Amino acid sequence: MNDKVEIKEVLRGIKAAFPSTVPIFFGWIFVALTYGVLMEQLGYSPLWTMLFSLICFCGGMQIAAVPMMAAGFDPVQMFIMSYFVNFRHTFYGVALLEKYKDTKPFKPFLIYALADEPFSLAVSAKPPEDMQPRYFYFGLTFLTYLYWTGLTGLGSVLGAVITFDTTGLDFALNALFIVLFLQQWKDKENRPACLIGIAVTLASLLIFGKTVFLIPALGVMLLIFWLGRDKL
Amino acid sequence: MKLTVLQTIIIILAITLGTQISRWLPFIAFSGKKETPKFVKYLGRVLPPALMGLICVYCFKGTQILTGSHGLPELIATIVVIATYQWKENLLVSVGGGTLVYMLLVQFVF
Repeated sequence: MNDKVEIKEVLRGIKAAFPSTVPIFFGWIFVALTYGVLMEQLGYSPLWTMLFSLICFCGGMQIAAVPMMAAGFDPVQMFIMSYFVNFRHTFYGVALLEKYKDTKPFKPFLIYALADEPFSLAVSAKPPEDMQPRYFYFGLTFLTYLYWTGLTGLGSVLGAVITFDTTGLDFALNALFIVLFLQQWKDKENRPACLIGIAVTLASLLIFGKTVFLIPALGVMLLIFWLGRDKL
Repeated sequence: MKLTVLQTIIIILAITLGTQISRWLPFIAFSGKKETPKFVKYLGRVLPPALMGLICVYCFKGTQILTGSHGLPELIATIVVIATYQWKENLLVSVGGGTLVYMLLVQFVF
């Protein structure tokens, strides 16, 4: 496969990816504004907030880090926490091994920025037929990366003065994930795995509570898939 | 800033290291010329639908069933998303419609 990058194709990839990333933009407005305000209260300028987003690019953990930073300097705890909060991303990688195989030279960036949203779009959204998929995956990831960095920076500038009531806007992300789930559901072969995903995670949430349920859920899922490897 | 500049940079790096290890692990473990193990290939097929289910549950983890609005705005908006998607099969219509309904419900009804 030819690794050469054509700028025209990169732009086409971004354009093709744009429509499916719109829900992420809207879904992140509320979260990003909140995060920006929290960082501002902790004394960080918009530039610092953007630096966090550019380098870390992990929304949930960035927000969880705010009270931890307020409590004091503990990088080891921060590292451990960050690994476990983002543990599910390892599974995203396994799920995308094939799709991301021929994505040079974008591959390191696609992996670097493999958060929930780019993952969900990459498994469900279809690249246009006349385009090399790598340009499309780059477009998806690049746009989500741009939104998060831009919106969190904007959040710490505007957060305090905004008057529009954004309560409930973050439901856009829930809605996006539901639609992407339905797209998986459409394929009958996927249905057992869809149900396993829902049932195991729900049971784990009820048993272990909302702070730690993801890790047992992923463990049990792996076990079920191992046991059912000849049937599923 | 409660932390110094140097401390803040170290915190950024600590968060990034934790996140990046989780993201790179499978690509490093299964790279190169070796054939990817059969079980991992199979996981690559069943994990996307299962993980989309996981993410759907995950994004509702804060919903209060026993108190407040008992999760009714979430339930109604979810039905709107599913129904409009069955009807139009259009991502933006379903996401926009569901979000609008949800915002109206939490801001004016509940």
